[in-house]
Amino acid sequence: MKLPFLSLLAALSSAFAAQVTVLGLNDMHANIDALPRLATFLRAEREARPGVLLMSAGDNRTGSPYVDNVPESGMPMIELMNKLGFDISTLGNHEFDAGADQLRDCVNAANFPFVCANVRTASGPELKIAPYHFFERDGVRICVLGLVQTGHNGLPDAHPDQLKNFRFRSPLAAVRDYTFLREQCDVLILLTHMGFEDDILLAKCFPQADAIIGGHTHTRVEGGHIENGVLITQAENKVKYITRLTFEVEEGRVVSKQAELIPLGELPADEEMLAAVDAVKNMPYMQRQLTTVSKDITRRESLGCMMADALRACAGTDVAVVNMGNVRLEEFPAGPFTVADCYRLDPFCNQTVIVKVTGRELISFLNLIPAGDHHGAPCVSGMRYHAVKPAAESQPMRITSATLEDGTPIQPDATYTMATNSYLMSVVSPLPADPGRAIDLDGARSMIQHLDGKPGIDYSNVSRVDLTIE
Amino acid sequence: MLVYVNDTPVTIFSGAVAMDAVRRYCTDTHTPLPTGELYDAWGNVIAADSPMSEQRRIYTALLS
Repeated sequence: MKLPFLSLLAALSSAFAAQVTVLGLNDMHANIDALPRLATFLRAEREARPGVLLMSAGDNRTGSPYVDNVPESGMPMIELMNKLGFDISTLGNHEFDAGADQLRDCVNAANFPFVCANVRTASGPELKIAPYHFFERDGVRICVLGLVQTGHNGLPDAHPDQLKNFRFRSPLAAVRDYTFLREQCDVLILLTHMGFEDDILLAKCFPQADAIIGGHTHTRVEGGHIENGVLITQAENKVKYITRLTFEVEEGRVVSKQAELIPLGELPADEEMLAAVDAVKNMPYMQRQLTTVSKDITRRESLGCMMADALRACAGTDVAVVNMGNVRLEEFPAGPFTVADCYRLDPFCNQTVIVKVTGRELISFLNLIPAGDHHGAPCVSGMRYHAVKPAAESQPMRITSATLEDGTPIQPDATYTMATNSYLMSVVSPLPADPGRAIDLDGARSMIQHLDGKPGIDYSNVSRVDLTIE
Repeated sequence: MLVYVNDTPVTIFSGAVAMDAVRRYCTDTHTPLPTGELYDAWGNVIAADSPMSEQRRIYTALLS
């Protein structure tokens, strides 16, 4: 008699089990073109599973000029997330890219809470960011705790100037203050922007969590990964996938959990969201005139010098180096120069890297670029050089003299700061001893910053390279 | 920073992404740039713009 009775109990218990569904996204990086497909998915999902929760594990912004380079940086993405009905987000390192004021404006404009347990405001107006947030669905209490990554310098990967109003703790240390949450909820979710490798460490030191919805490393975790009993998910990036997590809850605890990675790329676009995205892209910002080109620029090298000048001015270095392959227009006519022109001239969005070099390393770096880039002699700012270049691109160039812009010869043993792009720092070999550090700036954005408001520019005859082909 | 591509140490600028490290690895080892997916140490696919951190290990082919 005992076995049938137990079976009946199990059946009854199962009948009373509640199911909670959570959708996890991360690292959307302002890929607004993917949002109409996401809207189609969400519409169907909300019909099939009422009460489903939609969560973002951070880095909602940074990746599109329509979102990042507008006067209210980041705001278009928040407005689109409001429209999509996000329930919560944590902070990614890129949420800090536009500084404290812009982040505060975005947080205030969001119809959903941001959570992050290892950041606090050190100065200026308080950010409305709690460590955690509770939801209730069908009598099930769900707690979501947010965490953002910190690097070796104790800060998230963002420009330190943008972080000076904040104080951060290591997420692995901060999370230990929140073990009490286990007793206050039925489902405990860590919404993190730490990277898959650190989420593994987090699961090892915080087994109280039922799941970690992670981001940062753009990792495609198929079906979820169980570590120390904690379900870890991440859905790559740019809204290519979404993760559906399903929790079965009985008597205040999760009795089963699973994750499914769902591709979004083939779905039709939702017309309403498509219109909203088009409205963002049709903002007059991209056609905004930055300056006026006073005379026709007829040489690609002159355009490269203009790009290098912008890079040097924004990075604050002694010299700047741009490879010719990075210069994507051959000429530019006299007339208005707009934001869109910056992206036509440099569509790559390569990161800017600042490197400390000796004069000897600088000359060697320049000499090796044509063999790595295959587009000829590099363009420079803050200096000029004379070089002999073999006709074969695979052979290194040979600089015979080089001076700073004031005519001072570049000294082999003196130290200079150089700004260049991440592509060159990957393909030139050997590199300077200093591996360099990337800053939150790409070529197009440096031109926007540098040229904005200048009454006029004349690069018609600018050349800083005197080249002999042998 | 020091990272590993196919268990080979690669020195790359801080702030680099996975494809920067792979390009550096291919330049250093004189191997052609791979065209397929990139993977982490657990066999998960990672995007080409996956941020790198000190000591991270990535692979250009799935480990058997």
